[in-house]
Amino acid sequence: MQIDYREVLHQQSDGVLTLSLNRPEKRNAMTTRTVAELLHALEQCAGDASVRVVVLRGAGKGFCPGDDLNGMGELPSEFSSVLDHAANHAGLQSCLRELPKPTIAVIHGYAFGVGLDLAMACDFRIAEESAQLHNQRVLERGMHALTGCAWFQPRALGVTRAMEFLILGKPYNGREAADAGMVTCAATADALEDTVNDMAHRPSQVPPPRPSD
Amino acid sequence: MKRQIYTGLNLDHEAFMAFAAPLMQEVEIKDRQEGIRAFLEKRAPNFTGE
Repeated sequence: MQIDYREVLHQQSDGVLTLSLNRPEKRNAMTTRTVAELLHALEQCAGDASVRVVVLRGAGKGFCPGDDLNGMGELPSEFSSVLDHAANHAGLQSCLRELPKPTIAVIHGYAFGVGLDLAMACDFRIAEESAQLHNQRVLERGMHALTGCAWFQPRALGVTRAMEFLILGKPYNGREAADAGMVTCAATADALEDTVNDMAHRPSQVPPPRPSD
Repeated sequence: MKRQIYTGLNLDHEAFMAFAAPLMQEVEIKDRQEGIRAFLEKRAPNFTGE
């Protein structure tokens, strides 16, 4: 089914599908529609042999600050019967992890809360050195239970640092995140695009995966 | 949160998300509502422990 994407840009070149969160006027805060559009694009590319690698990034000044608290309403009707996964963050994270293609998150500017969870569900993460990575939900919003991050961060950082990051809200910049293992690597703003292109095209040059891979 | 972190170490992602979903409902408490309200109003939250 053809879906009109409004909040996610969709671009494919040389086997690399780039999906960009595209609500720069809201700093790319996610809505239910954003989640549904991402899910739809990912599910559609799962069986598309022309897509070898998926890059996830944000348009404008940063990656994603989390949810748009005014935009988490009903699922738009055109998605009601076309998605295989639940149109929520758990479904989106599962879809990314199940996708039979490498996924790369590109974090520039900022990745907060569930926006950072989205990046953590990808296989690789490249952060701009000056990017801010932060989980503010416990300290600033009184949220004592969270999804994604409580599973991803202990595996990336180890329990000691994850406790500090999640409960005490310690912020990381991109360089610190790379040193701590939260992201795959960091790059200066000037080198970011070359780093993304290099990483995106390496897996796109290896033979296609077998069904069992 | 602490329970989530320690429990999550022994669960795969799918099982963890199923475990965490009801916890998200449990924390629909006043402090969370105040936190979200403060965020939307661009002010510091006033948590009361409720």
